[in-house]
Amino acid sequence: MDTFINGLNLVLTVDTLLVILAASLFGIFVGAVPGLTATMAVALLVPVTFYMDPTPAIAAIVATSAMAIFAGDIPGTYLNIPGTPASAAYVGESHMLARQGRAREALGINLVCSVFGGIFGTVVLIVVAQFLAEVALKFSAFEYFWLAILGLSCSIFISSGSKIKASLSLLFGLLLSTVGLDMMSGAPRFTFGVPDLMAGVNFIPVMIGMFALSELMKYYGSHSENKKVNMTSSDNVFSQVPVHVKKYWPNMLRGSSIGTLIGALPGAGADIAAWISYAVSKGKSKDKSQYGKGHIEGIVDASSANNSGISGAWVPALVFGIPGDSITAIVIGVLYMKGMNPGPTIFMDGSGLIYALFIVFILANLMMLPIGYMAIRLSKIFILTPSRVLMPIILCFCIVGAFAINNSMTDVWIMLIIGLISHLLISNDFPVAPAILGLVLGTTVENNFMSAMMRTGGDLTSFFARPISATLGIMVIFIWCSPLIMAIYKGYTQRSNV
Amino acid sequence: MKTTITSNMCKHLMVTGIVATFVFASGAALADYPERPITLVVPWAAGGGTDATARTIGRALEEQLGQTVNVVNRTGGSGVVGHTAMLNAAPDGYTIGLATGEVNMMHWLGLTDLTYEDFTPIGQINYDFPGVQVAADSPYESLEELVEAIRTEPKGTFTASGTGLGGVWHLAFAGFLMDQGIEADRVSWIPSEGAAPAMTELVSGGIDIVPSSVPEARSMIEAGKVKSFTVMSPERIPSFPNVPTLREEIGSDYQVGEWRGIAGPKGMPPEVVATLEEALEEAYKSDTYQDFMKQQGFGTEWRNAEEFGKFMAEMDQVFGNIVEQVGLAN
Amino acid sequence: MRDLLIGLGFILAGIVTIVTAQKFPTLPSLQFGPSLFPSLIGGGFCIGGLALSLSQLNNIRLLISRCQDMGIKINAPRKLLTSLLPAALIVFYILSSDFLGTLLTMFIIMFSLMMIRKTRFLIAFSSSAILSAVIYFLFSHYLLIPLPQGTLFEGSL
Repeated sequence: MDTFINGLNLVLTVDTLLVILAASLFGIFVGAVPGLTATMAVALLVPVTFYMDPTPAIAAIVATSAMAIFAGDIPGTYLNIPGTPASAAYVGESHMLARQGRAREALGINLVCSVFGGIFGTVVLIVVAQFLAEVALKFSAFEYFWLAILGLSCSIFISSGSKIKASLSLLFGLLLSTVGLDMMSGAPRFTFGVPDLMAGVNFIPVMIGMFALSELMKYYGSHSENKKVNMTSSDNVFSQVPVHVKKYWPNMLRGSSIGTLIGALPGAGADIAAWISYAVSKGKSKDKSQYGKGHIEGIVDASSANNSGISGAWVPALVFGIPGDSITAIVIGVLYMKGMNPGPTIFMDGSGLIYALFIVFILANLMMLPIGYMAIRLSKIFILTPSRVLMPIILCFCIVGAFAINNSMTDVWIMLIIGLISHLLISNDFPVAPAILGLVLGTTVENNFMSAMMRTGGDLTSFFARPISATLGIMVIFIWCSPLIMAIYKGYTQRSNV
Repeated sequence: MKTTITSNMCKHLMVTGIVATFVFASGAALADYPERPITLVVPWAAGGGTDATARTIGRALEEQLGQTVNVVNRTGGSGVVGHTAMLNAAPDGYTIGLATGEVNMMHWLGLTDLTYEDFTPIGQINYDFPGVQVAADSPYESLEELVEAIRTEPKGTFTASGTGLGGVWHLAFAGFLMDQGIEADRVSWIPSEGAAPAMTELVSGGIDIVPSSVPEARSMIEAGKVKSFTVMSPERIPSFPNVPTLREEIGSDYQVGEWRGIAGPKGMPPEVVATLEEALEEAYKSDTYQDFMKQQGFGTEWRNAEEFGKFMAEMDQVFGNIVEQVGLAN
Repeated sequence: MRDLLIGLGFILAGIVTIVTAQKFPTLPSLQFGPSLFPSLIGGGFCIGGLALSLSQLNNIRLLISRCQDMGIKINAPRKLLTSLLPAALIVFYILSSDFLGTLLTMFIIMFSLMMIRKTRFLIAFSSSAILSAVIYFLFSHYLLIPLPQGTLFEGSL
């Protein structure tokens, strides 16, 4: 109890609270600007945290990342340009709602789910962190391989429209992920002698190119100044929330649970969590046909999942010093720099730092409600600004955002080339979201597969030799065979009815 | 804040004043160095050990030079990207970098044409040595038992991980095996993205050995999941007093590790190098840097520009030999 | 018709990928190596592209009737040209920012794009001037991104 009070004292200082506020505003800004993402926001914070005490430093990172993940949905909803790969799963859905004049309603429920997911993940972190981390350590290359395949399968499964086109888009993303130095052999692949490509293709310029640039090209290709998204007087941020929560609270719980679990795995993050929970949501829903046409249900699952995934990623980071995602990879460095060595001792020392951390998590997530509300209200600026003024500004942010990833012009080139290709694909009804997931998960699939094969000398049956691995493998096979099984089942019932 | 700036300015004026008298003949423009912020390129990601080292030395350098030092991460490609970026900058002293041991490996592996000869050495600031970590439930109780088992069991029985193929811990461990009279590739190397993912594989039973530096295994050691048999350094690491050195364990003097130092592109003016070298030595000795490195358990080792250059040349041969023995030479 | 072409494009890309991948080195301990995944992806491109093309061939009659409607889309080339405008301006940024600096280049990009869409001169000029300055200082001074300053003004910003 004493340590808890110590922790409370650490948090409840004017400094820390101000830092949380400032970091939240920074997170909102970075998340809401097309072209800037949560991971980048945290990386940009590192030099600043250098000059802070441990508690405000961690507070700044927690507040920024949680806020940026939510705010990524704002341009996603209004402009069809998602802010993070985690929101790419349902950007189509929320943009459809915006076109029906329900942008605020969609963002309102999204905000509530994000806060719920974040707090759910934190509670899990507080209560069962050590147990969950033990489970996560059971995962080896075999399990990560299947999990990544599961994520990829989901992106095909949830796509509406031609499955062939979705698969081709996914393969395009996977091909991009093979660019660069192959970790297994150390051999460069598809680098064409450009040293910068040795590092591979970063997903951020690709995402900017796929969504933002292609959207810009669509605008300059048409000659209409009419907005696709309009304000309607009935659209309100929170008025529909109680209705949706009442109807979809099991989805919130389910999304948050999936998110926390997947987030806690060191090799999988919020992005896989969002895709899998969206797919689960669609698979279990009674209104499957409504998905992709502007349906709230999938957004509830996926937006709960990505924020709880962010919290879940802290589980292995704090217990074993193993990063759960790209954000906690940076966090661990900051923790070490502050003399807080992650590991079991962090839970035992009497200084209350760990409690301070938990309180910061809850506070930062709660802070999302008012600041997120403000941001949603302010985001009508996307509608009020005429497109002819807004679009050039977005273009400039895209260029600077792509450059800022590595301070390299190569990323601007990548954004441009990917933008041109995806413009061609999008105007022919290809979904591009699967490509993003392919790029993010491609290396996970390949490296874990190769690593497993190197250990077992090329024995493919080893993927079914471990219990968790076998379970995941059977799930994947089931997903791929389920259309077939369904068809047989339908045929059988029809025949028996006759 | 203001007072520190003015005191920095005074120091800055003093340093540049001294330097100016020495290099008067070489032109007025150089005498003012540094007159604008300096960029410090780091070839590894934000938040990692190298990044933290760079930011700390950068801050200490700021105090010495009276100019902002901006740390810029250029990651990927096993260090190729960042080191190439350092060399592509103008050799005016306004872009320098934290070069790492990969300089001695990349060109042997055929990843790039750049070698240590393309750099202007300024000073070495750190030297980290590999350890030998196994899972806590490993049947081996000491390094001697483990080495004996590697010697007698068939080739490929043991797997190790901690870096990519041809990464520093891979080569250092292969060199250790060679030192023990064992073939360099008797233990299969499973490439990984770094020490952290290798640690999870070690604990989940996927691999047998992680020869990373001991501080990289800290949290797992504290959690009782991993034990460290030895550290291949001349002396025990102060923050891990229970981990014996290689000499204490099996009487070997083998020492190959990861060095880090400040360097710039080839052709930097000697006056600028002298200014930087002097400032860097002071920064190295500063409490800011020393306290940080001690707390992290990172090794500190100072070599001035000339010695650092010689050291790089020496290590280049050592790594060239190991790379060839492992069969990765290109 | 376009799906047929894109399908063929994917098949071509698949073949190129497979051929390039054959040049990658193999791993010492396994029969397959870094070429495995690119080859599989290339194979996937071929199969998917073929499926896409074939599904179009089935609808060939539909296509012929649609081709007759093509007359409506006569202004398509001009649209294509204007849709390439953002891409062209990105190339302009890449080529000229080292000389002109990010600040000026961004201003030119914003201003010209706004004028093309017939924004009032005063609004276009002032908003692009203010916004390019805001973006530039935000990134270079607060987020410490080393944006090109441009050799034209040599470090004066």
